[in-house]
Amino acid sequence: MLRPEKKSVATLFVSRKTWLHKLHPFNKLAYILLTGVVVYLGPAEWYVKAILIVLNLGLAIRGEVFKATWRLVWRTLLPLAFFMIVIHGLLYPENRTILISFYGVHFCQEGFLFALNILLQLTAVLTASLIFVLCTHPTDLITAISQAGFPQSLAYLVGSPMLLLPMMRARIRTIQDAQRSRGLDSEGSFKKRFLALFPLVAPLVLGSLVEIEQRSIALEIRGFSTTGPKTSFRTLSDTKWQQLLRWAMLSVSMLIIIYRIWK
Amino acid sequence: MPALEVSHLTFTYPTATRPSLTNLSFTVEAGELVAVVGANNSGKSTLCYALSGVVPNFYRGRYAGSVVAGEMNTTGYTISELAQKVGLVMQIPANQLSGVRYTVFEEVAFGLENLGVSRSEITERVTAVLAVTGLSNLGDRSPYQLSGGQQQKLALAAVLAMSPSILVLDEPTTFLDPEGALKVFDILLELKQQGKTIIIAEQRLEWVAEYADRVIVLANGELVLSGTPEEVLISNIIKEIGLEWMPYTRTAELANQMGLWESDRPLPSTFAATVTGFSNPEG
Repeated sequence: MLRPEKKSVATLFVSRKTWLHKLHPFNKLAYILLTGVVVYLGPAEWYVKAILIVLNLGLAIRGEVFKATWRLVWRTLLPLAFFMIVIHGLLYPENRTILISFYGVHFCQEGFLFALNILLQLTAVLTASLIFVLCTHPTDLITAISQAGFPQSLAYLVGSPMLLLPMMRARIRTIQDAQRSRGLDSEGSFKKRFLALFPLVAPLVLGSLVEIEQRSIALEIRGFSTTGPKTSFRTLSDTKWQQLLRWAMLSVSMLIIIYRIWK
Repeated sequence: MPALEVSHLTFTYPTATRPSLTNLSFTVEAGELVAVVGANNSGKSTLCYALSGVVPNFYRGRYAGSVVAGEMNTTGYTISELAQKVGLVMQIPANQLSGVRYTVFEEVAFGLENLGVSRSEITERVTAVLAVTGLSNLGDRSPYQLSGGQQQKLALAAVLAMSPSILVLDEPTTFLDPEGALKVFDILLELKQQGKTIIIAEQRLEWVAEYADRVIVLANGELVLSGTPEEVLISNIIKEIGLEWMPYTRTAELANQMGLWESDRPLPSTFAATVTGFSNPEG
C-alpha cells in the first residue's frame, strides 16, 4: 500500500511510526483537555504543572518529536516569557518583596512567581498540544471526525486549514515575488517589512475569496454533498483499550470541573 | 440517443446584465471528442459549467433551455449526483484539489470515498486511473509537491476515478508547456478510444485540429459555427471572433496568394496536411 513520505510539506506533522502516532486522534485531544483542566482547575502547586511538562516531554521523546517540540516551545514562549516576567515583576498588584531595585523601579518576587506559574501552565498545555499536532496526521483527524458520525462539513472545516497551509504559503511567495518584481522592498528594517505587508495582504485575501468559490465547486464535483453512506480509504485503529483510556481522561476532566464548580 | 443534448440553453449570471450563453443547441454523440473554441469571455467556461450542472445548481442565474446528459437533465440532479455521469476538470488544477488529502493516492480516492465505494474497490480504481494518467510513481507524493502538469493530470485522474461516461475539460492545457499539453491530449485520446465522450474548451487550435472530431465555435455566448476541424479552423469566422488561424493555415494562405498553393486545394488545419499540400501540389 502507498504510504505518505517521511517529511511533511503540508503541516507541522512529523511522519514516524511510533505508538503515539498510531494513537487515535481523539485520545490525543482528550489528553490536551485533561492537561488544560489539571493545570487550570487542578491543584495549584507548581510541581503538578512541572510533572505534566516532564511527562509531555517524555511523550515527545517516545513520539520521536522531541526536537521539533523543544524548538517550537522555545520560539513561542521565550518572547512571551520575557514580557510576562518583566510586566508582572514590575506591575503585579500584590508585589511586596523586592528582588531587584533600579533607580526607584522595583522588580518583585510575587509578580515574578505569578508569571512563572502562568508560564508553567502555558508550557504544559502547549507541549500537550504540540504532541497532538506533531504526531497526528490531519487526514487522520478528518477521518476520525467523519467516522465518529459528525457531518463531513465539520471534518472539512477542522482539517482543511491544516492541509491548505502550503497552498497559502505558495500564494504568499508568488505575491511577494510579483510585488518585488515591481519594486516593492520587503527586506531590511522592521518598518520596511511592516509596510510591505499591505500590498501582500490585499491580493492574498481577495485571491482566497475567489478560491473559496472554486473549491466549493471542486468539492461538489467530487461528490462531497452526496447523502448516502461514505467510506474511508484510511483506517484508524481504535481498540477497546484506547476507547477506555479516552473515556477515563474525559471522566477525570469532568470530575475536576464538577469538583471546582461544587467547591 | 446522444450522450449529451443541449437545447436552447440561455444563461445569465445573477449580477450580469447580458447572458453568458444565448440559445445554444447542439448534441454530442457517445465516444465523440468535441472541442469548444472561442475568444476570452465567449462563454466556454460557462458552457463547461452548464454541461456539468454547476450552472444552474451552483451559479443560480437566469436559466432557460436544457442540458441532458444521458437521461439526466442537469436541473433535476445535484452536482454531486451528476458527477458520476459528467466529470468536470477545471482550468486551474490547484483549485480542484480537495485540500483535505495528504497524498496523490488519497486525493484521487476522495471522490470515491464520498460515493461510498468499498476500500478494495477504491484501491483498484485509483491504481487504474493513476496508471492511465501516468501518475503511478507519484502516488505517495503530496499533491502540493507536484508540478502544474502533474497537478492537471491529478485533477483528471480524480475525476476519472469516479467513472463518468462524459468528461468536460475547461482549458486543461492553459498552464502546461507543449510537452505537458501533448501528454494530456494523448490521455484524452486514449480515453476516447475507451468510449468516453469528451468535451474540451480549448484555445490552442493546433491541438484541436489534431485531436477533435468536431469543433464548436462560441462568440459572445452564441454558437456561431460547428463542424469538423478541417471545416471550422480554416473558416474566416475564426479570425472574426478574435482568434488567429494556425501558422500552417496562414502559411498556406500566403503561399496561395503567391501561387505556391493550389487555389482549389483547401487550406490545411494540421501540420500533416500542410506538408502534404506543399510536397504534393498535384495530389
